[in-house]
Amino acid sequence: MSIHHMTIGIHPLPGRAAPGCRLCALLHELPLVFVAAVAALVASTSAFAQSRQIPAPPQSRPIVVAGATIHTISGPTLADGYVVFREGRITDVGQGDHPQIENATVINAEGLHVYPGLISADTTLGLVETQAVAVTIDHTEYGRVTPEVRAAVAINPDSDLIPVARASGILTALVFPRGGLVSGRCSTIRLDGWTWEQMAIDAEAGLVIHWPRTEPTRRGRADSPSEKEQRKQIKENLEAIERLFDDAAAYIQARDADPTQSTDLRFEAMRAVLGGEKPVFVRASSPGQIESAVAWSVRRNLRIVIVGGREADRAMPLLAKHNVPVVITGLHRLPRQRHAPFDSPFTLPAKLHEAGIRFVIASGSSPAHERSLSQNAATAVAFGLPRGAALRAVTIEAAQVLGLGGSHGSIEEGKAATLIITTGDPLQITTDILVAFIDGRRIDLCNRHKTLYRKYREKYRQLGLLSE
Amino acid sequence: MRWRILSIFVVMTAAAPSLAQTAPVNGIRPADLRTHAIIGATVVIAPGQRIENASIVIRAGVIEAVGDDLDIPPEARIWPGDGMTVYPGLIDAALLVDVEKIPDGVGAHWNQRVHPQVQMVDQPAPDSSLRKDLRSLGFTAAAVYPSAGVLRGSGVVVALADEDEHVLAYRERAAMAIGFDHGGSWDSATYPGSLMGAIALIRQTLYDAQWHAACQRVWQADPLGHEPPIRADALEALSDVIRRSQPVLFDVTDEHNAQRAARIAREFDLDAMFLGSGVEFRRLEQIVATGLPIIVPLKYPDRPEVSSPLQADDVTLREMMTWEQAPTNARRLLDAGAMVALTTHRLKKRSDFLSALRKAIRYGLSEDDALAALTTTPAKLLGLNRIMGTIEEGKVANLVVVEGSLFQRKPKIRDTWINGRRHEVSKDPDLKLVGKAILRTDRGVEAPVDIDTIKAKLTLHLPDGSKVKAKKVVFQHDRLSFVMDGRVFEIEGYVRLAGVLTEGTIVGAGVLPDGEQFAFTIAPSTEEDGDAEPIDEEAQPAPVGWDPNDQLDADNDDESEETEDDQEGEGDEEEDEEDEEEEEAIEPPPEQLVHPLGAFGLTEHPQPRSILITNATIWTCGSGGVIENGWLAAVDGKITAIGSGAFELGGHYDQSIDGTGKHVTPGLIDCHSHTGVSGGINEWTQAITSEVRIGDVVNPDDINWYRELAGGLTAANQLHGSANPIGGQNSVVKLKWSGSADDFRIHDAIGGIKFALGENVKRSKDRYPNTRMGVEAIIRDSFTAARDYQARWDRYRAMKEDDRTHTMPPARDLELDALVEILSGQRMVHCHSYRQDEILMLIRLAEEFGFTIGTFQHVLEGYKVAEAIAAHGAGASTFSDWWAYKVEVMDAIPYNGTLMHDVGVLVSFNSDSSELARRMNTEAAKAVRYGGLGEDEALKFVTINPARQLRIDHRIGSLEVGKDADFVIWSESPLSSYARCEQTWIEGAKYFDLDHDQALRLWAEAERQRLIQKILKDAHGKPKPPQEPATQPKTQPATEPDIKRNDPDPPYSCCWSQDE
Repeated sequence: MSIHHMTIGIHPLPGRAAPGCRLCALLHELPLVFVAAVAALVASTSAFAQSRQIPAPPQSRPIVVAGATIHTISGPTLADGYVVFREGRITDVGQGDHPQIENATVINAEGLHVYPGLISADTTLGLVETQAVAVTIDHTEYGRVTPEVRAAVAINPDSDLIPVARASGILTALVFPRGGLVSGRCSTIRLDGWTWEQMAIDAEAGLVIHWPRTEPTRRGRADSPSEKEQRKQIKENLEAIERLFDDAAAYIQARDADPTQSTDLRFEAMRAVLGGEKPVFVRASSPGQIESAVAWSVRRNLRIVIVGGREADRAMPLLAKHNVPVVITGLHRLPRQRHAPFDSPFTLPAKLHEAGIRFVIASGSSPAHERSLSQNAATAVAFGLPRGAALRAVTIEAAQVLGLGGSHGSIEEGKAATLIITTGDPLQITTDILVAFIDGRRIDLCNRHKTLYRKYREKYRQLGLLSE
Repeated sequence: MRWRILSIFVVMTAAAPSLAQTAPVNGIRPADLRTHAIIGATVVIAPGQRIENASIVIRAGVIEAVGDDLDIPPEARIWPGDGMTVYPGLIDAALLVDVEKIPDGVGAHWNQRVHPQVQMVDQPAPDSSLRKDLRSLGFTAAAVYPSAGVLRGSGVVVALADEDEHVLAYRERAAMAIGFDHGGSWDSATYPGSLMGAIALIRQTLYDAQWHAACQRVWQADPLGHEPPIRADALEALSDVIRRSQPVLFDVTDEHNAQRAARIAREFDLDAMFLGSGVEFRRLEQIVATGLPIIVPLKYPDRPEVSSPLQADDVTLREMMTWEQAPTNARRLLDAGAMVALTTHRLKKRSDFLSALRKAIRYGLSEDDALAALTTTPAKLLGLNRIMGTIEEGKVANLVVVEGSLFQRKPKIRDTWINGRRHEVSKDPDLKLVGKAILRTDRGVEAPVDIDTIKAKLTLHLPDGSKVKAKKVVFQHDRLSFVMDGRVFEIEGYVRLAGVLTEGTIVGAGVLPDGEQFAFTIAPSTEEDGDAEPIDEEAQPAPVGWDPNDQLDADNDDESEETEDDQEGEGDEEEDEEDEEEEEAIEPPPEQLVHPLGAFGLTEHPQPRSILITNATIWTCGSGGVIENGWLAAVDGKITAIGSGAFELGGHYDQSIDGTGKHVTPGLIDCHSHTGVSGGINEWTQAITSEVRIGDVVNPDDINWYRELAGGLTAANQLHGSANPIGGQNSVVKLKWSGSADDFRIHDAIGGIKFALGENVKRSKDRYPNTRMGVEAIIRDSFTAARDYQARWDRYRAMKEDDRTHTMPPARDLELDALVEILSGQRMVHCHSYRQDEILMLIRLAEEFGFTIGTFQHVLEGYKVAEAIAAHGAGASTFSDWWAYKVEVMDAIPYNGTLMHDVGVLVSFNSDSSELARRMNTEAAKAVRYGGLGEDEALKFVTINPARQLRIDHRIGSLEVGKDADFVIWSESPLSSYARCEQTWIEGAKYFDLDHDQALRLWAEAERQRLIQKILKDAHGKPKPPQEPATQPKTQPATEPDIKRNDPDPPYSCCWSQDE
């Protein structure tokens, strides 16, 4: 019986790569010439940067994480617990002495914590590299109605932004196309893989609609169209959605009855949504938008998720009545009106929680700053949300909205071994993520930032300004 | 046309003949009667002085006599004044009109917004329709100024006469108009592109004018050996202004700009007044304290749209309160002691002026004050009080004749007199017919008629009880015509009638549909005709608005005549009653205002209290480290004692706080803020704009200050943007919410200035620099110029007094002044930077010029050259973890701050964002996470370190005895992501408190609801009370609304429940 034991330091020394940071370790030993060459590449093509993290191979032997506090999320938290996973799936979760398993790697995580990987439920990760460089942006297709496009196929697996998000414990994400009225289809991904195909969990996780404004904006602004014109535009936009769904339904009916009917990729792309298999992710912020979208979904018998949800607290009865979940896209924003309480964005999750409305917290940041996800959830706690609910909002609740409730979001037997080992509460900024597994594959938690950090610590070591 | 210039002295000699130009007359010379007498009127000779049954004699344009016991000269043309009130002619103290041609070419200023040499007296006179509009409101004279520009030109005071030849100028050079006009978008690249740029341009130009005057003096004393001064018409035109012999009029569009204008007036000792905004009441105290007169527009905001709750959401409480309070503005200013004149300017519809005035009076302005603000005060402001403003012997005969009172609802202005010439404004129809009469025709028809020619109504009563309403009822110059259907003749078709009134009866002829004619009369009802009242024929004035030449076209609606007629009559009465009611039912607005106006404003500015906090964890960020179970005492705004354990010093404290479980830190400091800046944070139109100052445009009313206080922030470094290599000067403030901009300022903070490098500054394709090479070159050039400039001044100052009088001085240059201050170490550079190359470049450049950079801002690649930054001695104020938003930040890392710190750089974390600025404590926590800094050291990134960077660490940044009592009470460790700021104190005064915040919310919400109701009542009238339900309550519809539904059951209950 061979068991491989590993130990994890609680606080890695400054500058020391976390275990598993293969390239960081490698870099350290590489000839200077190579380092310089890499640096040159970084400097000259940084807009099109290519992550140097190496995707992990499939889990080849059983892994036991032992001695840790296991935050299962779906069940009780287990002090001195263990998690066992094989071939990418969790096979055992328990407390006390861990089972002895042939050929397993045992990770001694004493004093550490295990959580399910965090889930980013509203991002463009992989579709954007550098915000200011248009050619690196792939989330907004030409045209107002483009259900045919899918996010997954444009995700750059080598984006430098992905390992940065991963290092903060985000292992799963829902990637959105943006813009227009119907932006396309969003995709659920795991944040590791050689290709987008390997990363994609469901390339067609749902249809994305940007719900049009339902109220005219303030009159009296010189550049804003008149209230009448705005109402006309609003009507046209709402009718365009109705028309699209009528046409799609008619198309599918005709096509199913007569396969010689010519094909329309846009309507084909809506099949799963019209059939109720996949949800519509509706971007909606104002109470008017939310109410209008929910009423529409009820009328059309569609599954719907509200994304954005900035003022979802003012449409709560309807959301509760129809059990519509809300992805709260970020808390860290200013109140919309001067007279609104300073903390109105911060208290939104607590209000939805009290009203029994299902919600997910997303970062609301650019994909480069996905790591603020946990801080957003923490802010909700500071302003009244129970801590457990905040954790659920970035794990199990998110998994369910992503259609991954059966496989992700909690530490349970049978679920994917997508989890993190941390020094503490992952919602605290000061907590380190030490180890991460995606489907049992141990992920390289190094990234561009750590690499550069190491590189320049070396500079100061050479100058004698840093001792270690 | 040009107007005649009327010398004051000529006016004062009443006997002098009129200065009419002797233009040839085509034909017979008209008689020009110049002696008039208005008799039997009430004359208000001045505010508060009224003579009943008085007469005014006017001769040759001048008031010869006024009184109740006058001998009327026999040659005078008599104007009966019974029922009339005569007031001094109103004076509009500031009208802004467009200038057609701005001077350019030789002598013009380089900046197209600077044209003080414009003289309105040389411009076309205000056009006749504007003069007519003003006369119809009772105005007889107006000061007219250029509407656009920064230094705009001199105004003129004109008579608002009808005939062009009578539009004379009472004062050729009234005040110099100054405004804060600036561009704003990146599309039109003319300086100034910001409010602060406009202010800098005004200041620089005034300094230039002083310099120009000094050069002229030297030249005029002895031209030998001197190059003649350049021709500078613009600067020349300011010579009276800088000598205080010409006043200036600041066109200010809000309450903050008034204070900014006053600062300029103080700096240059200007004789200034404001053309105000109408919202002065929002900062009443500060504006009145300037001591400057204010010309107040009676501009009230439009009624906010609050009908739908969602639309109401978009309306801030501040807007609602401004709407409610605006009519109190003039009264509040006067009560507070300001000198106030009124203007029709800024009104959306000038014709609303009198109703706006009426509203101001209903909101507390006294009639005498109102009249003074329209007569004596503007006369004084314009330097014309010797000749106008009151009805006194010798003054120009500028009068307004009003039936009744000028201040009543819908006042009836009859005439204005301008320089003794009568201008008719309105007149009643000579005749009206109102009452009951009998229509008789030679076809045997005889029917009672209701007639009202004022309302252009005529209704026939048929024997069967039905009614016929006439159409197109026109009564004009004794003649009546109308059309009616033929029922009265039992004919189908229209019958037309026309007649003339003579001796009380209308006699005329009608035409039947077939063309046949008939004769008719309409005679007043007599006793025999029944109980109807006789027709009331009178030559009395009709309600205002009646114009006998207008064809009134009432009743051309298609509604059923029989049913609506009576009701309509009642309806009209009701409407009138409602109007009356509206006049009575004024709901006075609250007298006490909060500052800033709107939600979360305070009634009282927080005052320092002596305070003791015990049992708290105190993060001193100073030598005391973190004190567990500590106490802190503050008196008079300063920290007086800090310690741990039981508090034993004793003494009385206004407030004691048990800090058990709480954490106390210094107030957080944001070293890079753009909160609370008015009129643009970038003066981006030029590469070098060191003359502009954020300090000029601090906006204390920005709600984000309050939100930042709620996150524990107490001080901020307000920086210019990063659009140019050398930007504007900074402003260091404390967040003294509810205070004025001046209250916010930290007066002993050393000045700073924003520099910027990299992508932002090189992206304007039409502006140098376009490369990082050019950035270095232009900064080098600027400092070189500053050194030369300094040398010029040094040489000049070193001269003997006597030599100096024969030497033209160097010109003061505000742009170079700021750079000289940098070179001499009196001003700190805060430089926006990203890449290591540019950081190093600026360090080397600074070293070459012998100064030290204050801070590098952002400095996201600072970690790559940290040793150079440390060796130079610059601070680094960085983002905790931003990156990837543009190419130059692709190498930004969250370890930047700690790595620089580890190498010896003084590091702070900043926000550059009004949102992030309310969470600076958790930003500090990132220094723990990324790079493993100790927690107490990490907190210094947002407390003492930025204080040191800003050189205000002698006052703030740490909790130490003797320092300002600026501190925050937290619910738990400030580095915890779960921490909440519970209280924020500045100088021993509490500016934020969670409990107080709750109270402010409740108040704001209650105020909003009150105001929404008030707005709705204003729009729709009073709602009917519930006691008298108009109809039966509607029953619920028996069936479901008709909405198509595929499946009544919500289908998704199953879809999300895998783990529930």
